[in-house]
Amino acid sequence: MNSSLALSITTFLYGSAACAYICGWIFKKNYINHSGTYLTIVSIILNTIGIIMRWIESYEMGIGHAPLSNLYESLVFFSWTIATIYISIEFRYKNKSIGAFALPLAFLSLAYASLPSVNENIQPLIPALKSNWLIAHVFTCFLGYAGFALAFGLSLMYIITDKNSHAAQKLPDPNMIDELTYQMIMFGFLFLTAGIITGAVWANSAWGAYWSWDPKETWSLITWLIYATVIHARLMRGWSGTRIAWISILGFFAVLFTYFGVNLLPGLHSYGQ
Amino acid sequence: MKHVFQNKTIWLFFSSVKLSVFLLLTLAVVSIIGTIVPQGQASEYYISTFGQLWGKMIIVIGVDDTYHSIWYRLLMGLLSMNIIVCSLDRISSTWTIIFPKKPKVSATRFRNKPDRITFDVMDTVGQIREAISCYLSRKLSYCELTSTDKGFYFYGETGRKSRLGVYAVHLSVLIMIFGGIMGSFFGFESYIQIPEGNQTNEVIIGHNQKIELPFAIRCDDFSVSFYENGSPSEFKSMISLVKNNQVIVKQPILVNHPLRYDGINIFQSSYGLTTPEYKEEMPETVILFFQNLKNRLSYPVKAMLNQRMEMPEGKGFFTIQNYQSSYNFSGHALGPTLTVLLENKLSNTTNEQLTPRIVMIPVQYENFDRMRQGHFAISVMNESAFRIPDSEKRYYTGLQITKDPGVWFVYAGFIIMLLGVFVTFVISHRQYFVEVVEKSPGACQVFISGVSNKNKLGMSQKLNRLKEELQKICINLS
Repeated sequence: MNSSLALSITTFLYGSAACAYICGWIFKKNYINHSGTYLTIVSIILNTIGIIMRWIESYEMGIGHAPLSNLYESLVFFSWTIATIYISIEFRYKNKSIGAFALPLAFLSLAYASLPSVNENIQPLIPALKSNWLIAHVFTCFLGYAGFALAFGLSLMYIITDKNSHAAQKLPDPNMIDELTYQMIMFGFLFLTAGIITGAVWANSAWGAYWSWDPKETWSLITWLIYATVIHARLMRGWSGTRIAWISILGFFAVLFTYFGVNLLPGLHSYGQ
Repeated sequence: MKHVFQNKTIWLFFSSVKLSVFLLLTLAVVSIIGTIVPQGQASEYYISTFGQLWGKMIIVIGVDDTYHSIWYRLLMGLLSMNIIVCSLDRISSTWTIIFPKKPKVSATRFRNKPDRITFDVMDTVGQIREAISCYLSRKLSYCELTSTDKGFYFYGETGRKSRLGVYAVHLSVLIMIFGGIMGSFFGFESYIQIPEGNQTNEVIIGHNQKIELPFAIRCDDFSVSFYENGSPSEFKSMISLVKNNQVIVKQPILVNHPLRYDGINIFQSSYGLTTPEYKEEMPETVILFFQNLKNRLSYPVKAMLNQRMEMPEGKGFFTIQNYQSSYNFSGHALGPTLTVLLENKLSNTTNEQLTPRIVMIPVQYENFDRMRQGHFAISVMNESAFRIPDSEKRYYTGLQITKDPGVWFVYAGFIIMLLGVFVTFVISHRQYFVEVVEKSPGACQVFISGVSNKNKLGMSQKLNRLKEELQKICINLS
């Protein structure tokens, strides 16, 4: 078994977990939800193994580096962060229906990674990425992205419960979803801030300036500004519910553009492709 | 501060959160423009790409340098004003809350909370009082026990100072903006190319503004190493800083490992060759490769300049007449190219007549001669012999030279912001209120309620856990 196979199986498991949660929600069957939880835990374990194996494989190839250096590796790690944060929410708040909105995101991320257009090979690090800041920067950024991804899932859930009382039957109390959305936004914001800052400190030792208005930098700032708006609107103007849900969805599109869309624009972050 | 603003409406304008929300969103939208329109190009570029009208517009409103344009700076300035006024406005009213001489406890407020938790215990008030205050005072930073007619209430709190976190975040934004402004006034950013062995102490910033550095930068050596798959692994420049003909610092710099000296930072940015890739002179022997296009048979033939050689298959003769290290073929630079005279024998072997023809054979492009569709396609086999060997190659190193006295402010801002955001999001000001009322001798009712300035969900969980803990303590008592 190698990391590639482990991660392929993980993709399948995430997909099954997502199906289980969605079925559990639609058919209102608790035992299906339970199988979702088990599948998620197994997927996370296998995902972790896959990441560690890939790390070891890179050392066996003589080009050892943390598996956080290109699009494929970042997608794998993104799934891991989404699933891990989700499962801790599930244990903390004892609610399984959120899984129907969280696990599909983890699955989609890994499924995208397995598309042929995404280069799966372990490549040696280019000089710009040879830095201790690589792990700190990518780790914090992706924790932030995952927080926003979950906030996005929860916002979708809120809008569904708000619009459709039938679908809302098995979903948790809207106030709880609203509060959790906000929690996730704060979590994401904290780590996005840390991600931008570690990136800036790194840039100052690699490119000679802590801020160069590179498109990826600018888009991370745009994302930061959008979520800063959410936080201010909520704390100071008492916004909640649907309005926060919609801005959170907008914010997540900014995250997606920061992550993927920026590759369409020229800039310094081209190794993310 | 308020009286500085003669007009109260200005103060009110800047202290509104509506303005903050508006400014944050406007900055977000405006920043998008700068990522779509290429920045810092020549004016001709914008006119040719976006047309006469839009191209001119872009230059006039400064979209070619969005983030340094007047209106972007104006937005930043407004945001700074907004932050300052809002923070001052709020901190003056929350100061007494954050630093009270003695926290005020409004018992009725806690008693009337609809989500308060109640449970009964079979203990006396005195027993419970001891146990509860002992347990809670260990967990909370401030505690207060008050006796009532029928029992007592306990008030405790933690994390009051976390309310300062948000001011730290706002302060950090201002410090970063200040650092950024300092950098743009007293710093510079420049790019220089230094060939190996050369030195310079002049850098050019902006549009042809020359700056003299307090020392000269000399590139002693540049090297680049590659991975097995051919991608670059390391760029390394050996740099000496020279002052008054004396080397003060000698240090290698790599990507991610810059040299910082006297407030000036030197970064490895790019590299290139100062020598051409191919030799000016033709190597002594050239191996030409003749491939028969019909039956694919191939013949390598050694040749020298101006030496008439026999072609394979008895097809005649050829002579390398000339070598150019760079040759242009209808607008395409083909690089090093041989001029070869072919003397073809006609196909019937009895006829000794030869037809001369001149062909160009570019060294780098082995398929070029196929286009001629002759009997043979000719290419050069020993292309590497034309290259200048690595030992004779001379590189230049491309260095980014920067000076930014504001960077320490920005870093200080980073640290304050991280701490501030952490405190604001993770730590909350939680107030707990536990009241015990004696219902009958030996039986009491316990009320638990509490408030938190954020994370209401977490607070109700905490209260539930507190209830369980207190119940356990009370049961152990009896």
